[in-house]
Amino acid sequence: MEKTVKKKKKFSVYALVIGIALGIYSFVILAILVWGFMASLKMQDEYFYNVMPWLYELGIDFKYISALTYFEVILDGDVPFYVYLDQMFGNSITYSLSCAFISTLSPLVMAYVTNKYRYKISGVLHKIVLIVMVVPIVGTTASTLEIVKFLGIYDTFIGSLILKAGFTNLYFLVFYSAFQTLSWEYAEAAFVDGASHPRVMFGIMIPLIRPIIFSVFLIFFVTYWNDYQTLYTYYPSHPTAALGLFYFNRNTTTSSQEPMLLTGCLLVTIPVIILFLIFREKLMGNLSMGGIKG
Amino acid sequence: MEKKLKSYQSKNLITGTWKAKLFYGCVIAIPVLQCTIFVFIVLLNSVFLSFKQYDYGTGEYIFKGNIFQNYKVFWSTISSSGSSLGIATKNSLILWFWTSLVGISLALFFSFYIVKKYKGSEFFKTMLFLPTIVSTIAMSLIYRRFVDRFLSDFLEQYFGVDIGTPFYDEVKMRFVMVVLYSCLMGFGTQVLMYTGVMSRIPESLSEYASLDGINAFQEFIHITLPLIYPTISTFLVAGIGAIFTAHGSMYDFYGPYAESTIQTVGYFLYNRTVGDGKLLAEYPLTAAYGVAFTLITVPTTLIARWVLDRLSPEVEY
Repeated sequence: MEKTVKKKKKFSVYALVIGIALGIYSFVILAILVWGFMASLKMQDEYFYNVMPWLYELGIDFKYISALTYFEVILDGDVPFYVYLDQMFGNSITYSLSCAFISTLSPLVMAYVTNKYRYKISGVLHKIVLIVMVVPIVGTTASTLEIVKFLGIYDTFIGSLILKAGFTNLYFLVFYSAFQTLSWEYAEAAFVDGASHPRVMFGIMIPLIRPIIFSVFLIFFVTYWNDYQTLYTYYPSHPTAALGLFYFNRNTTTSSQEPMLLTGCLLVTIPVIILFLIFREKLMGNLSMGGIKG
Repeated sequence: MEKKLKSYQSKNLITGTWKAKLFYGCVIAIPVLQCTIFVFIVLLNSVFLSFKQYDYGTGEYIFKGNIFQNYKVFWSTISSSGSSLGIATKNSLILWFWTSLVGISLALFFSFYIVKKYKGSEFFKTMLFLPTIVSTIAMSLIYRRFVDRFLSDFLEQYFGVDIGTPFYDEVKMRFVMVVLYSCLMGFGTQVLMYTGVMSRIPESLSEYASLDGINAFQEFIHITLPLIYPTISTFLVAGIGAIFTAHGSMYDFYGPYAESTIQTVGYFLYNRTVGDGKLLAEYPLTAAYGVAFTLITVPTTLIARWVLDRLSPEVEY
């Protein structure tokens, strides 16, 4: 009987049609990335008149090492200054790691205390998260910019961290439901042994949901690695690699720099693809776990 | 020991002691302050700002003259035919239709294929998720050149078809390309959510259905869709909430220079605020536009949620 079912699956018209559609989709995505890579290997002169990825009349120009020093953007300051790709990668790592840390920590600790410490305010905070997530607010960038400048944190590293320290997001709910399934008996036993509240939270309860925390951290890391608009808006003079790409593209008026631009694009992409290949299950699993059923 | 534990429990150790309250206060202090400033005060400030005008003398925002002036400008702009804000509103709705309605439908078909473990499903799942993790700016820059340079040259050289440079030549085509890109890149998160929920549907339901002779498409329509309706409805509501904030990667493609005929509201508002040489004097009007669109979006979202809840099929598993 099972064999019959399997056979039906195999020859389903649905599977055939959707399979073809998915095949075309995958081909297009791969084609874009592969072409980007092949075109980045072209000499600048050749790129002008021939972008076919299988023709290299002037030879191959492998720019992936030299790009670290040749890929540059000029920024306005008291004195205009250059930022190179290696510096941008340094900024990317610092920014993504620290912002991912703060963005994970904030909803994590808030979910823990609102779930386990049943004060009235815990219920209020939980409702605030739900309301903020449901109510769509449009066009507050002008207001946020005004406040950020008023607080003196515009274009500062600490400012970018503060902006990422919010807890009114989906991951609060993910952590909240994770803590809900955790028995409080572990904590009670620790309290009996004389453990303090911070010790119970950081030493016992939080480590119990370590896999989820790691997945959320990874997702935030990838998000901030790729993010350029927040930086462009609030922290513009310390470009990460993603923001550097935006500046480079904006400042490049001719196509003479295009192979270098494509090299930059691929260089920004490679670290997250490696991360994705290593932690594929973590990155894709967490979202499935967080799948909303209502 | 057991006695001690019981005594701790009965005294409600968690909420009862000053140490617990102090700890609780310390933990929530910074996140609550952050939320107060960057959610509530920002929102309030946005509302106040929308009633103010920029004072060129002092460089400050002040209440001056008719405090509804900015809203009057909003109304006259959006109601006049051919205005950039009117076009942006129309474009936002078109983008929403394609990315949300068409995008959700396709994502559902794809997810069902993956959950059913048809040929290559793991590979396709990875491919659908890949654009989600690749930098949007990098992907969009490559995509634009792929279409404008490679595809254009390839089709002309090998098939004699001249499509020009879609992102550059024809204004109408530019918006089509942005919408197409947004659809192509937007499946990842949705597919993960849908596959997550679909995989929780008991296998036995599918087996019974097979015994009754229904095919995969019928199973998808009559069994899977009703069972995952709450998730679909959540995505639909979220899509409506994002109608006027979505850029559709337009800023990635064009930076601040997108043609006014292809702009969306999200892009229009962002572009009035951020970038070199943006006028501080424009902020109050931009804030008024934001508040006005919020006033449109909030009830629309709530009504949509109410309607979708009403339409919810009575199924449990």
